[in-house]
Amino acid sequence: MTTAAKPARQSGATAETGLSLWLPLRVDLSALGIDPRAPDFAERFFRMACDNEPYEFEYTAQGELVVMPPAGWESNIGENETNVTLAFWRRENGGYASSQNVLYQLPSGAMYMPDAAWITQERFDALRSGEYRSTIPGAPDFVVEVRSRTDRVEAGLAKMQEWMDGGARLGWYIDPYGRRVYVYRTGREVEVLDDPDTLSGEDVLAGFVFEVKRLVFDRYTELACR
Amino acid sequence: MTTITSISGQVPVGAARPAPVKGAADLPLAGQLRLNLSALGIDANAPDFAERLCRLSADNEPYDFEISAKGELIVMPPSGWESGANEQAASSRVAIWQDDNGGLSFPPTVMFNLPNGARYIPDASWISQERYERLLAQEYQSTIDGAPDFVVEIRSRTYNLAEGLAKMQEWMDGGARLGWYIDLYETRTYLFRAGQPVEILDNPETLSGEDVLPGFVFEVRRLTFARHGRLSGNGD
Repeated sequence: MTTAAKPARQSGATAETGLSLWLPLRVDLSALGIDPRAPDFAERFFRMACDNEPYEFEYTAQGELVVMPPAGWESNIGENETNVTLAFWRRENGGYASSQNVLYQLPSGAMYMPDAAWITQERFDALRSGEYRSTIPGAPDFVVEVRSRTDRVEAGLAKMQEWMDGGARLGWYIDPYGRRVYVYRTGREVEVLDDPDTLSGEDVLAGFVFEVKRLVFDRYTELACR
Repeated sequence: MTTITSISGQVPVGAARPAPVKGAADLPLAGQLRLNLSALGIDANAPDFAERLCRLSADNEPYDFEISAKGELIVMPPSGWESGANEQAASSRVAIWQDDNGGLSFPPTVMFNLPNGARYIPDASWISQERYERLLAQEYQSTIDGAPDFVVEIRSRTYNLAEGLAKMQEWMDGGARLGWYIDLYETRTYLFRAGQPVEILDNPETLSGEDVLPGFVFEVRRLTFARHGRLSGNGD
């Protein structure tokens, strides 16, 4: 049950946030002559996002700008716990872990911000040695998306597939509202785990264990997780 | 544990999931959204920009788009029934007057390019016969250069008063000769005339087209104010 916290539409702005946007808005900007293949597109996109706080932005492979309202507190539970756990694992095991606000540029042209992500030490070293860029080329090696109240599962899974097609090696789609995790592995079928206790980093993040039930599912609102 | 064979993004049959968000009432926008896209290299002053903006609107139904003088892209949700009815009340009367008096009137779908770079869609508007003929003579473009000679904006639920009046001032600065800002929430009309201070009419019965639309009378009370008993939730 994920009734979106929907504002009264009589008002010009949502009652809770004062924002006029309460779900992601997709706008096809191609008519304006935007070229996502331009070499400086990622940097321009990053600057554009900075110019439009508090909104966040992604760009789809189809050339749509996705404008997103700031996240609510609830979806931050899953994102934050994953990121904290991942950061601790990273300290002992290397690589680079990013939280919700880092853009990855996929080979398809899409630019997305995963809820949690990790790249190998080798890729991190390459990033640091090259000319600085605000965004990271390619999908993360490990990627986590946590479903929020207003996300549709189908859309979330489609995005996971884009991550995998873009080169991710392990992906989790954590659905706290269905108490379910969809595990994506390169070249394998999606595995659906119903109400799992823990998730494993498998061979991509060796030794990484995430207590998804205790840290995420059990902490969402009763309404969400009944 | 279940393994699904399809990775096309479909949810397995029987999966508990919420009803997808659908329907006009569930559009993501509850009001206007302003985006500064200049970093993407969009040149709102390019000669073909107005045509591109029209295409943008066509590509992104049901949203409408405007450009502010600062070059911000303004994404607007579709009109609610209430605004739609009011816009029609005004624009249809202007159209009837135009049939006997010349010029060209427009419903709230036509974009005007202001000298300050803004590109807006007024709720009702009219241009003189002379400008109409110039439009006919020139190469066709979807939008109209310059402000309308006569412009009407009706305050809708998603517009706050200060924004509405600021936009009226932009219309006047762009060359409009007569402008009405009809505020249903205060049953008030703000009259803008070229080179004169704004006049505020409290609960007027009618509005006059004055010397810009001679003989035009709009029964603002009967056709707009009286149709809305109690209004709440305005843009402020």
